[in-house]
Amino acid sequence: MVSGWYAFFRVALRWIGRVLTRCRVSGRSHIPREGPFILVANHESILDPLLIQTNCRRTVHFFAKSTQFGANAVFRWFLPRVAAIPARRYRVDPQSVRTALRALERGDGVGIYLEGERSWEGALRPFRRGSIRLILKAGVPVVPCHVSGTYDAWPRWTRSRWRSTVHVRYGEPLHFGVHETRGARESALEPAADRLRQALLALAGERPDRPWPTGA
Amino acid sequence: MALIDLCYRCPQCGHDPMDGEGDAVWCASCGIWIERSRGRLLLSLTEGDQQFDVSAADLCRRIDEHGGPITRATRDDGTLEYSARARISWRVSEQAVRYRGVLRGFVESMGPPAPGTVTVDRDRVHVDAGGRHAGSWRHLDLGAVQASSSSLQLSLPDDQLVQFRFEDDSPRRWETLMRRLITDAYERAGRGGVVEFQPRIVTGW
Ligand SMILES: [Zn+2]
Repeated sequence: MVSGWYAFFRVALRWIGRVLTRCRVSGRSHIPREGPFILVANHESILDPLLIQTNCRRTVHFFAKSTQFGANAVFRWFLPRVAAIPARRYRVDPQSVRTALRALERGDGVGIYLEGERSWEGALRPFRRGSIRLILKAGVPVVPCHVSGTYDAWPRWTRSRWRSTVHVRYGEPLHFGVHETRGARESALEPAADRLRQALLALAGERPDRPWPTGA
Repeated sequence: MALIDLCYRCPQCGHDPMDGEGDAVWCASCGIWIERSRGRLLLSLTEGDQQFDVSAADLCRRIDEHGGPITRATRDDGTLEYSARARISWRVSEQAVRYRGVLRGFVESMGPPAPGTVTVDRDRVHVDAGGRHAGSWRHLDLGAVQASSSSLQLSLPDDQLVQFRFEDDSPRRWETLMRRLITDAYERAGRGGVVEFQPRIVTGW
């Protein structure tokens, strides 16, 4: 279900995304037309949610760090209207998981940055175990999404932006099945993480190695 | 936020700290110069010399190979101590976030920041922001470590949360330093290897 505010911001922010980046999108047909799904993505820049959500036709409730909700009154008003779920990073947060599962029960999408934070260096970091557990518990299709180019556009360590070419690639859904017991989820944790990592790396494609300059 | 937050020591010779301003850093020891320009990271072995494309991942890997934040924190006698000035704040409450009457989650409210100092040694983190906002905790008793682009948060025993906004130091240096010290403390105590630092510190798969 797409709410009015969500639909409005998706259109408005898509235009902002086009102003801030040269954005190419591929694989949108992999996003299920109906029914619940989880969208998993890498996270290199503050631009990622803007580009991933506005280029997805379905409503996606993305986990966002709780600190952002407290940043100022504008964010506090805005973030729930774009279906963000506040997740506390300093403690296990069962309420954020309940909110995500409720969204899936309603037939919406849920978005997860598997690394749990923006990468400092633009490379894929280890995945958060709690996110994998949620995927295994939910048992819905998982759409991998890789965003490249946003690190060049706006990495987390600078205030200055550059209008880079950005590519948002949605991949074929992965199916992990429902793991109802804690034991089943724990034993499936590592293989599922490996499979998700391979899916994101396959979408990323080869990144050219640059030798460290020697001055020779 | 600045390039020096990412590149806090020299990826070429290991000198610590780098000098920097905005999107540029340079090394007072070997003379390399790194700047972000048109979305790329460019490195010159000497200022004004030929520029080479480098990746941020390579910069970070080389900094880690030089010892990351540990070298500067280690004294000549082998003991470890490092400190930084910071604006220090503590969580005072949590507030519910509701939309259309439905609870979506909770967010933390931080109290007013106070100037102070955070110091670490091999076993403990010491926080001094004056008066009752002072204390010392074992690395083994910390609940979680997380960095934002400009600050570091530590989950302390008794459900406390403290946040450091550094006056003149890199949050990435501190995140790496805290993770290394916690990992070492767990290994010395025979508690196994730490694999996750947030939302709680976890060992092993
Ligand atoms: Zn140097």
